[in-house]
Amino acid sequence: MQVKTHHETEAIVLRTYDYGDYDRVVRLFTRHFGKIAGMAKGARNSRRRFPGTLEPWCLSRVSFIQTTPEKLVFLERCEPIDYFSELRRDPVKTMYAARIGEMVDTFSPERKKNEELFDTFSCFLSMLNEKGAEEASLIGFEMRVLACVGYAPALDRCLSCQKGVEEGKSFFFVAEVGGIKCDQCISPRDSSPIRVNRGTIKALLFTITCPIDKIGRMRLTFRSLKEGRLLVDTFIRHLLGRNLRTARVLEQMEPR
Amino acid sequence: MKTYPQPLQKLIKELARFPGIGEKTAARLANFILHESEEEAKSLAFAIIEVKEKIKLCRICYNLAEGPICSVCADAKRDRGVICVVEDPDSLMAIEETNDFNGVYHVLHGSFSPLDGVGPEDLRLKELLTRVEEGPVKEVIVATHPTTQGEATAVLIGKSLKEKGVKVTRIALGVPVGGDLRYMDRLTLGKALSFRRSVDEG
Repeated sequence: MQVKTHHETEAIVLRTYDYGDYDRVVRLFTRHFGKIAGMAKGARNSRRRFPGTLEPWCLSRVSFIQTTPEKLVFLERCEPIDYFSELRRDPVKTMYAARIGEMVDTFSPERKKNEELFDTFSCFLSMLNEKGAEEASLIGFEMRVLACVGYAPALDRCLSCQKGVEEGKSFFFVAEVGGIKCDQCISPRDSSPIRVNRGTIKALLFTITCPIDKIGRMRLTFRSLKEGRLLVDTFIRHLLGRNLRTARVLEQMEPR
Repeated sequence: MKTYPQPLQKLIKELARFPGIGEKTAARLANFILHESEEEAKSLAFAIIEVKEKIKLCRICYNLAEGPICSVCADAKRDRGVICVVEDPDSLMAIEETNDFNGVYHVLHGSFSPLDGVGPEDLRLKELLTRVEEGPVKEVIVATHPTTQGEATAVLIGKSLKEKGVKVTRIALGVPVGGDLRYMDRLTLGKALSFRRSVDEG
């Protein structure tokens, strides 16, 4: 006999897919259950149970029924907490929200609770909703998401000689080894090393360890922005074996 | 599926590529086609080929067309000073069915959707700008869907046309005809308030 269990939790919509003529399949990142996929019956023609709450990045309190753990849950209702409406009024904000949303979706396994990642994601959406879209904070939150899922690159010391960041001026990021090497340890055998200055490394390290609300206040020089973007993109490409879907759109959008 | 004869397997595989069609539904459709008369099956196959051969995109508005331009663009009675921008031909058809719009259209064939890897350069935005620059356009009505992607696309169009000296409007969003305010969600009601208009305007 199937046992139905009823649950309630906070959730952020990652994305939705139309199913049949009336239904929607929704992928959610929840506070207590991690990433789940749910069926929202009648969501396309009735807004009573899901009043605008199935739009990407909407934060709501969801009720759902679970039958078997590996199957889709059935969404009963979603009570809105924050629509983050400003994210839809500025294409750059839409782009940035999509970027972090895709990272959360891609790097988090199904049904694995990760409250730190949930708080990071909701804090980012809230900050983006209230303030301007800054590429420095986007890079900072990308680093933080990687840290939350256990993929933070090792940036605190040279992975070969263990020399600390404070002891050198210039380092090279090598995606294959997942961290940095100093200018004395880098060798021609290291594929596609990226030169990164100490200032950039320290700023990126800060995003991993600082309180979440401080990431949004981070400022980067033009050089550090370029280096940080290249480092994060290269590392993600190495981890996934492909670019994120949002990568080419990010290239099309000029940062303000 | 492996127990089906090879040609039937092939048909099931092809049908299963359709959106929303799984393998079981594909097998049901394939069996339906199998039990139809040869004439009916050929008629279906010809219809598919005909669609691919005859339907092109209108070179002015990118609506579906049988010739170089679509029936709307070919209609001399249409007001070419008003362009309604829609995401897809289905939206165009929906607006046409209202019989309330006498302008012309511009079909973007998508919306700004970073999650799907669709950016501004993947939409027919440049073509819209060219039309506005070249033609006697007074107003551009943005009728993209009231979704995250549709809203962001509307803002993108507004920004692109800002310096072109053309009026850019957005279709109203809010309370549906026959709706009850007590049951409206706060997002919809908020939209309805911000899109309010003078009662004199009717």
